[in-house]
Amino acid sequence: MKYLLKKGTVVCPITCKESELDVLIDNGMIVRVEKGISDKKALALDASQCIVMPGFIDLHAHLREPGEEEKETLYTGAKAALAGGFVRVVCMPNTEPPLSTSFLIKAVAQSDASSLFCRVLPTGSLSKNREGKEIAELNLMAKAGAVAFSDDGSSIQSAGLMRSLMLYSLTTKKPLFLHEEDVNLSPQTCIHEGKASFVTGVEGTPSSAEAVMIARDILLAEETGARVHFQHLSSKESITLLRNAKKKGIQVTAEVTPHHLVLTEDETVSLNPLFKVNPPLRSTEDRNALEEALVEGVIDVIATDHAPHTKEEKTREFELAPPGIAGLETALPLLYTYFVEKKIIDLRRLVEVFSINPAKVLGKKVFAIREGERAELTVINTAESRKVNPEKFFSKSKLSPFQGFELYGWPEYVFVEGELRFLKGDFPLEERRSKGVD
Amino acid sequence: MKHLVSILDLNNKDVNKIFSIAKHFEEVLERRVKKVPALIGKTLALLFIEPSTRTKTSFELAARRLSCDTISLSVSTSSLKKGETLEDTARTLSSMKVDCAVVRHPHEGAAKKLASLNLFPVINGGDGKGEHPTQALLDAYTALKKLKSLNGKKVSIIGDVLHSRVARSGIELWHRLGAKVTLVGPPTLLPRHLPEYVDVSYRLDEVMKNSDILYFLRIQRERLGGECLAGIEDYRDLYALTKDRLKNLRRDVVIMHPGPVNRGIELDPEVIYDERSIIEEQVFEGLSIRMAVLTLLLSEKGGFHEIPA
Repeated sequence: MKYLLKKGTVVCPITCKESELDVLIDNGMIVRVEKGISDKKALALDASQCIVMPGFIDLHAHLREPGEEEKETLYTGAKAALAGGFVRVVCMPNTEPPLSTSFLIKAVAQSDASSLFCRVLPTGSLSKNREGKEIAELNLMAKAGAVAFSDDGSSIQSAGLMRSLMLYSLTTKKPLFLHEEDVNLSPQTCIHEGKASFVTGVEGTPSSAEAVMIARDILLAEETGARVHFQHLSSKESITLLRNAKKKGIQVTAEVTPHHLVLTEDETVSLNPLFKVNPPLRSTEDRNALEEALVEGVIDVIATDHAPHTKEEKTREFELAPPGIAGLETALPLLYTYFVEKKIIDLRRLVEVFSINPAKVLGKKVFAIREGERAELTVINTAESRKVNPEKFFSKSKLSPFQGFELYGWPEYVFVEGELRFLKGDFPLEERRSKGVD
Repeated sequence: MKHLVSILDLNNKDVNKIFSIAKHFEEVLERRVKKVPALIGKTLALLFIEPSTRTKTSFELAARRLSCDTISLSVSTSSLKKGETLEDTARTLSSMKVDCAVVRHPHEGAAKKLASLNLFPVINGGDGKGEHPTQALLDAYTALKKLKSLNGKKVSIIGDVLHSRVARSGIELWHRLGAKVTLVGPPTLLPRHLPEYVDVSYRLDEVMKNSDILYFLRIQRERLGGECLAGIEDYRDLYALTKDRLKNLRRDVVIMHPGPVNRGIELDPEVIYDERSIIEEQVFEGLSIRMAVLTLLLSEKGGFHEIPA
């Protein structure tokens, strides 16, 4: 099968391209990237209103399978990720049972959904069964396909165990993805200790609950040489620690979510559970610090922390509703509209935080747009805007705090592993399969 | 007065002397009457404040082959249980005219403490995670006999190096005899801040092809779960000499283990009796080396340096 992407603006920091070019894809491989290609045998795809970028990778999603299939499955999660413009999605191990054995890792890594939609890459739990007590079989899970290790949702409270985990992870050369939260400081209410806790009366989670653990783990990362990646940073204190660690040359990376970059504690004052998320939405100063860090390069990665829940759970009282936002399908347009359109970051930086840096964090080869590369492409339309309508999400979770937001930069075409898997809202491989063509 | 507390107590001349005397005693051990009167009238105290079968039996037999009397004080019988200090026990033994003591103790530094009293020559039979010099000597000697020279040979020490007194004495001696030491294990069980001449690897498969000697340490079952290791399957996949790995192993490699082996953990049963294994030779040389050490410490002139070989 041959495809010709016509007149798209190709943005590839690896090859330093940023101009209107045609891209010819033959048998899954990029064979030509130049102006004015014509090939009658190729299926022409109009990209004249589009940006053509190396495939996006989400380092942080909860796909809920096994155990909580009412919230999401690997199938719906991989489909939502693809519709969101991602060619790879890293799923977290806080399932039931947790992804804590090589057997389960293998099952997720070989999921059928990966060959139809976005490829799902599993993380193994860091501690055995996510209990925060013993080391999980990191080596065997890495061999079975785990790309990283994480106890996300929980944080390793014991510094001694954290140090051991970092040391033991060196047998695998895989990164540790750390959710940082000292439970002695955090009441886990998902309300920022500040204006929101004062106005609502709900006990707040101070920024220090995150920052003290980041400080601890920067020290341990330096001491052990482990590859540490901090998940969903939320506070200015954490940013300061990270900036200093990077200045010292310590090998740590960090991600921030679109919701922490766009929303603040002001949204939580109403105690609307759609805005309940862990770590909590914090103050305007915190949000400003995250934005500054994104621009500066202190933040390496944007990750969704896609955390789907059922409508029943998520519409309960704030205190009883589970934390989490289904973010796979809004991340890219949010970043495009709020940061690229407003010229806070350029397209190059967008590709860095969504494609190049996530690949580097995983220790994988970065995607590039040039002859001889397999087509891994995220193509977004920047001319047409659309309102966020959660009812149309491909995720099982039809809820979003961004409902009604008018956004630009929605995915138009996505090529995964050389195949055109997303085409303006359609899923060609899935259709072919359901028609029994494959 | 001379003691053997640490491998550092020996210079290279001493080591060579021990090896050459051991060679002589090997011959004695093959005789029909396996006994010489070298230490007749001497008494060796076996002060074992921690359970041990191999080391104790080996020392006891070595002493008897030299016509040296032995007395045993173990944890269960010793007055240490009644509150007597190690020093008190040593002084009592000295009053009873004991000539030498082997000490096995759960705490590092116990043998050194006893030696500092200078009551009689003290041999360290293993102090906590500290040292085990006679094990290092017998290991090096067994390997030397097999390989003729250790110069430039690559020794990989595999397993729980952090808690191993055998490794702590061994690293120094292998290095001194010209071998290149690589420690192989999970970083949770490897010492940090190592001397420059020691290499480290986290995977057995990375070092198998290049090693002349694969020295496996005993892994303690209680460490398999918890904060050091991730269970038996993960450990074996990374560090055990399994049947499968044995198939791909160099033919001229030497396999060693200080014993007792955890069958099916660090070594598969097939490995123990493989032709490349010299585990049984290690046990035999344990006797000859300990006979040599006792002779050198207890002969009339005393010490290592003055005795002609």
